[in-house]
Amino acid sequence: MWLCVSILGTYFKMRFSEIIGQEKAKGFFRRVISEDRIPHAYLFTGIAGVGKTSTAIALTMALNCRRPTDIEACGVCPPCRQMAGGNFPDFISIKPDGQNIKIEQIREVNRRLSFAPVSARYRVCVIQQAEAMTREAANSFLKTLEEPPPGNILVLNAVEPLNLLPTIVSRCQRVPFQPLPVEAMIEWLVRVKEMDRERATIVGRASGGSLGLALRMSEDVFWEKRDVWISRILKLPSLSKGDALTMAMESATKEKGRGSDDAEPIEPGLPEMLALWGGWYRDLLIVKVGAPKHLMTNIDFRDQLNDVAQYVTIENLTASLVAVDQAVRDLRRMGNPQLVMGHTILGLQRLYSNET
Amino acid sequence: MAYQVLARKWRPQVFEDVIGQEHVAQTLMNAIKTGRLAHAYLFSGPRGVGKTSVARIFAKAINCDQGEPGVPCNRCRSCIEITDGSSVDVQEIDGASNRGIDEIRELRESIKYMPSSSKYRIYVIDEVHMLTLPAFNALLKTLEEPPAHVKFIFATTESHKVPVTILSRCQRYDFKRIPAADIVAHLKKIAENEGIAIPVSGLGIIAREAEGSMRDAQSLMDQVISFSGQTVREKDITDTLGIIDRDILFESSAAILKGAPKRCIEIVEKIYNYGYDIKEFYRALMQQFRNLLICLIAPQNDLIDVSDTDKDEIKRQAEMAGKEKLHLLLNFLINREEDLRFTSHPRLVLETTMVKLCTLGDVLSLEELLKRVAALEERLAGAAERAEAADAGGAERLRDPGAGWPSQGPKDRVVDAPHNAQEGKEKGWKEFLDFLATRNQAAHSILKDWRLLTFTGDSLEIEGQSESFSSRYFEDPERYHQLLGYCREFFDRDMKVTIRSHGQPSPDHSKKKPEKKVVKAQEREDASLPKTAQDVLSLFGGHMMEK
Repeated sequence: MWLCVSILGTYFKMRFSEIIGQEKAKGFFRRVISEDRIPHAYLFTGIAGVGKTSTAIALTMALNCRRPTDIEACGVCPPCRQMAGGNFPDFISIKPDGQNIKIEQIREVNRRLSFAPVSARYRVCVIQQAEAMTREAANSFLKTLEEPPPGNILVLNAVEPLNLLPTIVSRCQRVPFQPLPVEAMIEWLVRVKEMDRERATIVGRASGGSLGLALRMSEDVFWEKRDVWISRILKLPSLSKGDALTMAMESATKEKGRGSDDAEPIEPGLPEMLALWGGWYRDLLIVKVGAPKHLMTNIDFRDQLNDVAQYVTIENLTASLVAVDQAVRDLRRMGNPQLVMGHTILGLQRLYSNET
Repeated sequence: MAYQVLARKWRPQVFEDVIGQEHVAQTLMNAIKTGRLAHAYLFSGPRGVGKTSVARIFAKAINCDQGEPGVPCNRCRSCIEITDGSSVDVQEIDGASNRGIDEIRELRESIKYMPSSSKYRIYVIDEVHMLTLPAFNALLKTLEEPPAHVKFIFATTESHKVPVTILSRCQRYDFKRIPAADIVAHLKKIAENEGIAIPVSGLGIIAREAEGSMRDAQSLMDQVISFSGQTVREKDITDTLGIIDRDILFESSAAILKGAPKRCIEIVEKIYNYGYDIKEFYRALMQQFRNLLICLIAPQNDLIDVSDTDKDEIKRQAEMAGKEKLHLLLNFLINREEDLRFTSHPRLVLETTMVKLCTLGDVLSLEELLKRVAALEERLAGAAERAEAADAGGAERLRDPGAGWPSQGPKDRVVDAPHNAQEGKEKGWKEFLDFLATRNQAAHSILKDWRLLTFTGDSLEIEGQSESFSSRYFEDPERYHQLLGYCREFFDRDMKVTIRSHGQPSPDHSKKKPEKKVVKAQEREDASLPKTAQDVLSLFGGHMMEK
């Protein structure tokens, strides 16, 4: 999960046929719905932006539609139209309030679930980023998750089951979601979004198979920043220590970034910059070890990558990747960007000033 | 009736149906039969082994008035109410949601009332480890001496989080993980009842994945059935449960042991696109290296749970690698696990880690290392003898630590300093300047205008320009040491660099490298001294005051 992706709101209406890929998950739901043996708790696992929430929406629509064909909702009956309008009363979506999903939020869910659904046959409750539940919240969900009142379906979205309490995982049916095939996604971006092929290839590969992430990265705000960020990393080795520090401070203060919660448009910030740098070092690593070229992300900087790769060693690259990853974690935990960036950039510079 | 998952549908309703917990079931039944009931019980154990089920059965058994003692009838009003959770006398409380002191105070209020229709008021508090400390403490008095009509049953997966003062007031029962064979037998029974065709070997895989938890096993089975229908093949199970293919694991360990980073990146790509969990794969990889190591340490032992063909391959790879290397790799994997746990780009970290593992390089075994040290000692001893035989030459050799190690550093760029040949000297210097230009532009542009005075095997003397602002450039110790570093890198040995600023001797940065001419003279003068004294003199750069 490189960026936080929120698709709710933009794509509220969603049917199984509109979800790209995920044949396994679709087959699963086709079977359970047609045989009418619908388990009450699911754990959807997979990286962000591959269709987990969309599937939960499609499931809600399919279960509550008055005239479904196979598992496809009709899209015109009252429940379907309510769903499309985003005001279906029996669709609950919980997402982290700040960093975490708190115990109050889960208590509220428990309370709401204890009443019968308003109008639906099945009420669906989706917990987004279930790994963000605090320990208290997760524990207070256990009883409900094991034996919810009839007519309720619980869906937990998470990246990997190992991030959750084993007691939670053991109560759910796990439905794995695969990353989307990159080539298919690039085609889709070119065809449907009418995107420039080079840009589509870059964001497609960088997203690692997450459509939501690819769409976000292809936005112009991100695209403009990308050049700035790459030029920073390109000139880093030639800077003196003082200049490198200036650059670190500049990055830390200017790249504020804004989350998807704000009303203003999302602005990419430090985590995105570090993710891009991680991708850059990974590209160098790929060039260095001679891995297949289709894995390379930043193809528009191919020449520079090939050039720089001559001067660096594999050890330095792995060390840089570790440093960048550590920086992302530190940023999340410490919240002092100046300190983290200063440390990281000077560390990276030390690695390369001996080499280039 | 709405569909119920297997774990709920097959929840045991009498003690006899509880699997793998005979020690608990038997004790509780006997307690009921003999009328020796405690007022508080604590059930602890891993997830999905039957704590909540046993608590419910126990509650039913002591309140049921129809069945024989210890066996609930599941037909009387009390039993039915408890089963569907509507009983007023048996309350099941979610300890994790109602964890504050206020909820416990409320509970204490309600305790004084007599049961409405049954013998006992029973409070089952599930997930009791989540109660707050004040809540636990508020419970202490009640828990020690509750009214005769009240029984408490606590259930938890984390008994270490329950205060000892609570533990000491309860009868404690530890539930065990259920043996895989018992799980398989039970799953088989379920499959037969549900009319599902599933091979026993497949059930074995499910049982192994469940790690001794019956609910996990039932959830997994439900999932497998949902994915593949009434007839389940073994392949469906491994596919559905995302069990990592053994071939990929062998491929990975082989790539790492051979040091093929390219192959590693391809493997990660494959895993990622297949939708395996990166963290799961990492765990499996650690397991793989553990197996390799164990196969060398305890080959006879049955600690490795793999087929015979796999065993041969494991043995082959392990012997190729050797114990030390496997140890090193496994250690590295364990140390880096934390990186993977908290990262937001697991794929990147996995790639990095695997490439790093490839480049960790060959490790010499300890014996090999000892052998080499012994050989080195021998050589050094020989050198010392020779030093005693020769006089000045030997002393010089000892004095200069760099001279004894001609092979240190990278070997691909050895440039021999020409001895006294003017042409070669200029050439070597020029090459060095070219090299410097790639490393440090600033130093290069200054040095290229300076004059080279002497240039021998291990020393370099240069003269700066007198009027230039840059003449004091190398007086900064940091820059001077940087220059020494470049020299070492280029000439592959420690060089003595002396900088004169137009005639004057430069401030000496390294005390242990006195000026050569002076030392030479001194050595000749001290040649008559004993060897040890010579060594001391040369080491500290002093000279004899008086004999």
